[in-house]
Amino acid sequence: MSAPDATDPCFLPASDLAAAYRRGSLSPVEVVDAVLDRIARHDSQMRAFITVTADLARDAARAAEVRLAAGDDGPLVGVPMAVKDNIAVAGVPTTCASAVDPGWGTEREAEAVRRVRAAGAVIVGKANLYEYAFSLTDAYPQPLNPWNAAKSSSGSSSGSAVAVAAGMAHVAIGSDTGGSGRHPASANGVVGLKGTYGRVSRSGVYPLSHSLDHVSSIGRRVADAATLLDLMSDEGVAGAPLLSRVGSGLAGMRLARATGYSTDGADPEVTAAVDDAVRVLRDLGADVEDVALPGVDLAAGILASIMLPEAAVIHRRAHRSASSALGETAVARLDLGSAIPATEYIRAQQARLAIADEFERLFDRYAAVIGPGNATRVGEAGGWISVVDGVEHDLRHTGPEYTGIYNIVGNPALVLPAGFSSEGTPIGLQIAGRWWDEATVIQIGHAFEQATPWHQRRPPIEA
Amino acid sequence: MADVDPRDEVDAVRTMAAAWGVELDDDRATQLAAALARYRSQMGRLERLDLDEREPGVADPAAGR
Repeated sequence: MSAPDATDPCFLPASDLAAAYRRGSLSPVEVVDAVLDRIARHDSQMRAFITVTADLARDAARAAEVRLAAGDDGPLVGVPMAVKDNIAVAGVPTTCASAVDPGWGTEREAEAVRRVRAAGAVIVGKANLYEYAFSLTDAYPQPLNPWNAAKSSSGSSSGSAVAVAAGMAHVAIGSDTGGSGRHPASANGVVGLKGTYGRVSRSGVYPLSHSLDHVSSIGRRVADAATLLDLMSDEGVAGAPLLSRVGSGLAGMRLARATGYSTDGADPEVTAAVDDAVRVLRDLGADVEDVALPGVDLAAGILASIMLPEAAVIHRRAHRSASSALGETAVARLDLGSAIPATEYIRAQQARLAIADEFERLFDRYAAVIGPGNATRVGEAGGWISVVDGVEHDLRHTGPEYTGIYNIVGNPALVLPAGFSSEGTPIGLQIAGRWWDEATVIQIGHAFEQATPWHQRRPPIEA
Repeated sequence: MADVDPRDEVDAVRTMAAAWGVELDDDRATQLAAALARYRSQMGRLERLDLDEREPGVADPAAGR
């Protein structure tokens, strides 16, 4: 196998691709053709896509050429993009990766998709995911991790992350209810970003949990993920423009290094990567202190109490009449969601606000919280379990503490590459900030990215 | 506290599920009983929070517009 060429347009960051379009050194039609060719050659093995939208993409690429010729310098004009297949794109079926048809037909379009299509992005396909964003299923097997095919690509937005990592899209839209946008970004060595709760409309996004669902962005660089999130965002949302602090230094910035997880230090390779990241951030001038995060030991219970009953209501009909067609984890989660009393649901919603208040006080003292994207490196392909030093860690149990906590409290959170395990799989660093302060999170992520080499690596897949 | 026979727990969840119109086989009922036990243990930790004066805080539906 040969590694991809460093100048292969399929692997350029979206920002570099847009610059090449403006210079005239590349054209959307040739790049989209190259991406579609790559998908045709690799995706039967990678399984990143459920539906490839070649005709739609070629039409959009031609339209992008017209826009560029007219002087449109929008950052995503002509940029190939994947859309997680629980998010509606007009003219394309939405499967939610399930044998149980969500019944959405092909007319609906998500508001986030409408916005980025209007901004000139080119949709190359609908990306694979966990069934309805919460269960592994035999009907749509998990995509391959392009760094190590024996290892998990995580989820639920695994197709979106794998497409970006493997040169089959430059950016992707995902969704994130408990870490579903950030875990696969971390596992596949790309950037994943969820904004503050409510930043992006969820209209046309098949719900998993109304209280926790976020639309997320995935890219090869922090700026790419930020640009996509910015273009998806509703008008008039609070906070500074997302990219307004990129390039500003970190001198004197106070950062909290997250501790207090029930699995602190569970994976020495993850701990070492975060230790290294702290050194980099200190070298950049930040003041980093260890801080026990509030409520992380409550996150699993709160997330289950909110997400599962809401999901059980959303999937009530399929749970009763078509459970044999759903994946095993979906059925188990819907069983539990149906059994959780309303009193516990309300108590968890009360607890959510209490913990959000504690986070607000934390962010009075620190500009951001940094820490690992998960307790451990990724585990075996097609499963939920990572085994480190003979101890099993289940993503369904660790995820709520590391990523789900930011769905519970609604704060923005970013993951980006921060190293590699001895198994060749990426390790992600997570940066979380105040409500509506995505700009600071992006500033820190961009500074870290510029100071480290991890984003420059490419997976060992054929060119 | 008296020991609870795990079999009784499995029968209890099967009866509960039947009330929602879902029939659980042995495997699903056993798995649900175990999941509920783990869940109750997780939720027991919330006792340390003072939530009596809190509004429920259900998400603003407008956020999903």
